[in-house]
Order: sequence, then structure tokens, then C-alpha cells
Amino acid sequence: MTYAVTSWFIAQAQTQHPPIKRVFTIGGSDYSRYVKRWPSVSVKWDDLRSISATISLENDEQTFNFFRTDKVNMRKATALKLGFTHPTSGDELINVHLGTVDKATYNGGDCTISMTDKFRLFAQRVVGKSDAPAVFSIASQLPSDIAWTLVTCYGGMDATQSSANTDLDWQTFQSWAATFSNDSVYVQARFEGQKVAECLRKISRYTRSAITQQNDKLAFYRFTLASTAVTALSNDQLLGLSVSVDDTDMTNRQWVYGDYRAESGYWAINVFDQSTASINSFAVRESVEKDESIWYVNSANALNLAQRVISTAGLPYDRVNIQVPLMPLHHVIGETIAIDEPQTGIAQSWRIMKHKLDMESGRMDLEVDASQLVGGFYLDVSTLDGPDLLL
Amino acid sequence: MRWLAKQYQNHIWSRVDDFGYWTGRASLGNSLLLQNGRRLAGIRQTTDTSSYADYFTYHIANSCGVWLTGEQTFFMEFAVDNSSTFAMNLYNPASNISHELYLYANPTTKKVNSYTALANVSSYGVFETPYRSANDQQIYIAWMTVNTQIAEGTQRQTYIYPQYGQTTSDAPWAGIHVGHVQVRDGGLDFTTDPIYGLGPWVVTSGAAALVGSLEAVMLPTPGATLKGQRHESKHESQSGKQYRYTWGHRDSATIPLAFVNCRDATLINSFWKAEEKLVYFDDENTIVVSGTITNRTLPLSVHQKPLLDRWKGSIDLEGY
Repeated sequence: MTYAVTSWFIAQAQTQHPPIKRVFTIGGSDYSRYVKRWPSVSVKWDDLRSISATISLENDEQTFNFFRTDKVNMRKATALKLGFTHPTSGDELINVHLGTVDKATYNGGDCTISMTDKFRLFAQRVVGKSDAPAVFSIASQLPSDIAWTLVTCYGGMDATQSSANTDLDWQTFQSWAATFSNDSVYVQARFEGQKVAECLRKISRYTRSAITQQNDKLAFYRFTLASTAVTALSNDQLLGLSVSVDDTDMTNRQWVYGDYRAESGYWAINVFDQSTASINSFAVRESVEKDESIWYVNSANALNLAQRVISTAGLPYDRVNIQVPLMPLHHVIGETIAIDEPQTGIAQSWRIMKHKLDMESGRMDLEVDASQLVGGFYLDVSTLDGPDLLL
Repeated sequence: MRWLAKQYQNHIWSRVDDFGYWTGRASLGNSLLLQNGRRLAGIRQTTDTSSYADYFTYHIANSCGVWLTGEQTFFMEFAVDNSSTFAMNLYNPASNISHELYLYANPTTKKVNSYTALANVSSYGVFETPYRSANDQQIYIAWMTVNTQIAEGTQRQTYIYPQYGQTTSDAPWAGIHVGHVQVRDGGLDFTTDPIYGLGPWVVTSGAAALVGSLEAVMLPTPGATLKGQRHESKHESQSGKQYRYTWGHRDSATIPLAFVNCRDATLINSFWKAEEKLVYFDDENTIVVSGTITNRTLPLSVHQKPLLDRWKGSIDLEGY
């Protein structure tokens, strides 16, 4: 779910000298003027962990000694915001990071504060134990059902089943769950003491889904159609671009094991999909998805995963790293960047898979690639009665 | 041009004895503007030639004199060419005594004079300091110090006003000045200036963000430098387009000061010590810099030779 910003905000992000503003608050009070160095905040599509930000503050006037004198102040909500100041309607800012203080370091007249978001709990709580594992054994259980239990019961997040949920992006969760429900994708799971974050990462990897933080909520995606939220970048916007094609990204024969019997350590399902064309060109590059924590319970679902991998990783894909000013400021993981760069000959639209925002310099580092893009589409134009034909 | 430093914020210094100050350019035919400032009264030519009492009535009506209450030390200051003379009348209505003070600026005839002796009034010194005016004329700042201890009569007041026929030259600070601050018990807590001990001031810590303002008038010393610094990030795209994010501005100024009187020197130094938030602007009230004085050492710490109650130095004003 992208940020809800106005068209004016998006227009400002495209300009060369926008009326930019950044804000740092603790408990709602603005401490922006004390910031000596603003942090970088990064998030990756398939590596769920709490997002941290470290900010350097001026403490000559002992402004931030309140963390020392009353430690409870560390639980006050912190916010890092970035955006633009409208000439009449005021500031329009997006939340770059929301969290609480987990560490404050004082050194002379400086105070350095480290903040983490609320999903830090996922790294502090475990799911099951080796002698009493958490078993999800229902036969018709969607991956989203298990994720819901992990997030709410084990992770301690809000369990409200509506858009009023404060910790979970209900809309993306509903769409994500519907993807599995429509295709009757069922899994079982068994966790023996892994942290909640690790369990969610396993679901993410096993279903090729993104479970990531967006605007202080947990968002869930299984990328299907290309996102229509697009920002086009060319040499006029790109500060730098590098592209790599890595042979090791490639898998042309994917094995997926399923229907695991924990008692006997036996896998009842063993399927694979392969790309013959790729094998003929590159020789066999095999990969095995065999997880004793989560597994598919029928061969159709297992095969679907194998096919999904082969469709995107059958050939090495372009992995593009770009450095850019704040044009894509309002974009989140999974949204589309259209790149037109003559030097490398790239003229494609790919998803943002890794996102890093440097608030100090106003620069973004994005990793965009085709690893999870299915069915990029193009709009074409035809002149009525013209000689051209739409494909 | 004259520069003012105006103090804002909720920590306001204010003078205990708040005279109605006069300021403005004193020249023939000019009206005087009432503002807050360090000057007690400016000067203008008068036309009344009648008695002392008429002088008094005239000046009251035309608001070009000022009451002094109780004991006062003040000095008269003006800029002259070699032919000007400056004269003031001291008048005490209770005793109907008037006293004329003359200040001749011609260096060859400089002196302080009085027509009649007046008890408890002493005047001393006629000093001069070369000064190059805004229109590049060499003129002199001539000044003397007068100490009044007039206590007779029920009103215990003395009125000082310009005398007929005396003119002054083009000098913005010409007039009657308070040299030291008199303290009267107004039921407030007094704090003596710790640096020079030149004058007690009162601190009123009001809740309002802007209770009032206090100005230090600095003489127009050449060489003030304004500096501004943008805090911004610049990015250059592969095609050469520049993206610029301006996060803020920081202004600063370096202002050399000379001939600063004791009162203003004390005030500026107290601003420095208290790290008060100031606004630096010109006569037109155009704000130039908001900042605090960031000198590492006391801004005004050197005597302006040969004057004993004038100071010189420099202030570094930086945005906060």
C-alpha cells in the first residue's frame, strides 16, 4: 500500500528544488533543530526485521537528558518525517520511521539515539520449543492463516480484523490471503523455538511473498500483476546506476518437497519444474525447497511454487541498483520504477525490492529487479483510422 | 545608518528607571521621534526668546526636553563642525532656577560654561573625538559630563531642554544621554551587572514569549559583514541536472563596534553572557539576522581611548 500523498506531493518530489522539510519528534514534540545528522532508513522485501534508525543530536543544552533522568521516556513514540511544505496548506510529510528509543548514548555535548520500530518484538519472542513445538497441522490451512497467528498470538500485534488494525495493513493482508484462498494453497508448519521474525521470513520465502513494514504497519504481498504506481527515471533523474547479471541467481530446475511427516522425517511430496531451454544453454542449475518448518500439503501447490521460480529465475535476471534524488519518495517495496538508461540499454519497469532513504542528503538507493515481476504490461496508443495496429 | 540589536524571548532585561527616550536626527527644523533608545533627548532649534518659564512651557508643549528625577549623571553629546555651539538649559520649577550649559565644539575654544552657578550641579570635561560622518565630512564628537544632585523643592525634578539659537550638525546621536542608570525601588528584584558593575538592571521573567524589547544602539562603525549559509544537499544527475534540497539557512554577522557607551556595552555583554536571542536590524526595522552572540570572549572589553566610558569591540552574531 503506497503512501497516501497528494498529487502536489508527487509533483514536488519530481522538482529540482522543492520546499523540502524533515522533522524529528519525540512524544509529539519537535526536536528537529537539535539534529546533527539525520539517519538512513532501509527496508528489504524478503528480510523481515525491525527497522532501526540512529540519529545524532545536539545536547549542549542537556535537552535529551530526560532519557537518563526518567528511563520511561525511552518508551515515548519517535517519528522521522520527510516531505514538503505547501505554500498555503502547510506541511505534507510521510512517516519515514516510527518507533521508540532503544538506546541513548551521551558523549560530551552529543547524544546519539537509536530507535527501532514496534516489530522489534518479533525478534524477541519465540514460537514453540523443541520439546513442545508449535504445530500448525490443519490440512486446509492457508499460509496467511499461519502468518496471522504468528503476528497476533506470538508477535503480540493488533488482532483487529478490519482496516482499523493498527499494526497490520489489513487491505494488503486481505489481498494476500485471497491469493492463497483462491488457489487453495494449503500449508502446514512446525516451529521449534524460532523467533517470530524468522518464522515469518520462512513463510515469505516459501511462498515467494513480501512481508515487510510500510508506514508502521506490516504489509503482505504476493506479486502478480505489475504495480500501476510508477515513477519513470532517466538520465535526468538518475544519480547513478549499476546493473549486474549474476549467474548464481539462476535456477532452471526447482525441486519442492512437501507433506512433511515430522515424526518420521519423511517427505511425502517431491515435485519439480524445469526450463529445458535454460538447461540446454546453461546446464542444470538445481535448487531445493525443503523446509522442516513449513511445507505444502499437496503436490499442486508445491508444483506451483516450482513453476513460479522457474518462470522468473529460469534465466539470470537483471539486478539494478540505482541512486536517485527523492522522486520515488512516496513509493514502497513492490512498486514499480520505470528506467530508461541508454548506457546500459535498460528501458524496463521493475519492482522496488530494496529501499534505502538517506534523510541527511535526500538521496535514495533502490534495488529494482525482475525477480518477482510477472506480466509487465504496456499501454499503447492508436490513432483512429491510422495505419498502426495495436498488438 | 544605525544598527540595533533587539532582544526577544521570555527572558527580558528592562531598565528600572524607564525614561521617555528621545531619538532621531537632530537638525534644524526637524521634529523628534519618540522611540525606545538610549538617548534622553534630542536637540532642535527653538525660537522662543522669552523668559525661562516661557522656555519651559514651550519645550513641554513641543516635547523636546526631558524630566530628570532626583540625582542624575548624564552627558551631552553632539557632533559639530568647528563653528557650532551646543547649549542646554537646566530648569527646576520648584525653585525657578535655570542653569545654562554651553558646549563649544571648536577644538580651539572647547569649554563648558555656565551663565550662573547652580548648586549641586557640576559639569566637567569637554572631550572630543574625531569622527568621519556618513557624507565623509570630518567632524568631531564633543561631549561633556554633567552631574546633577538637585534636590531642592517639592518636586525634586529638573527639566533639561535645548536653548534657543543653538544648532547641531549632522549627527544621529546628538542629544542628552544617560551615562549611568539610576535605580529606584519599584518593588522588583535587582540584579547588578556582574561584568562591569556599571548599572543595576532588573530581570523580569515573563510568561509571554515577547514581553517587550530592549535595544542597544550601536554606532555606525564601518565594516559590518553579513554572512549567510545554506544547509543543503546537492545531487547531480547523470545528464547534469542539479537537484538541490535546502534544509535550512543559517545567518551570521560580524559587527565591529566603537564608541559604545557604558550602558550599551553592558547590555550587549549581558546579551552575550546570557546567550539571549537577538534580532539585528537597521533603522528601518528590516530584520537582517536573528541570532545569538557567539564570541568566544567578551564582545566589548576594550576601552575606546581616550574616552573612559566608551568601549569598542566586535560581536559575532550567528543564527540559532
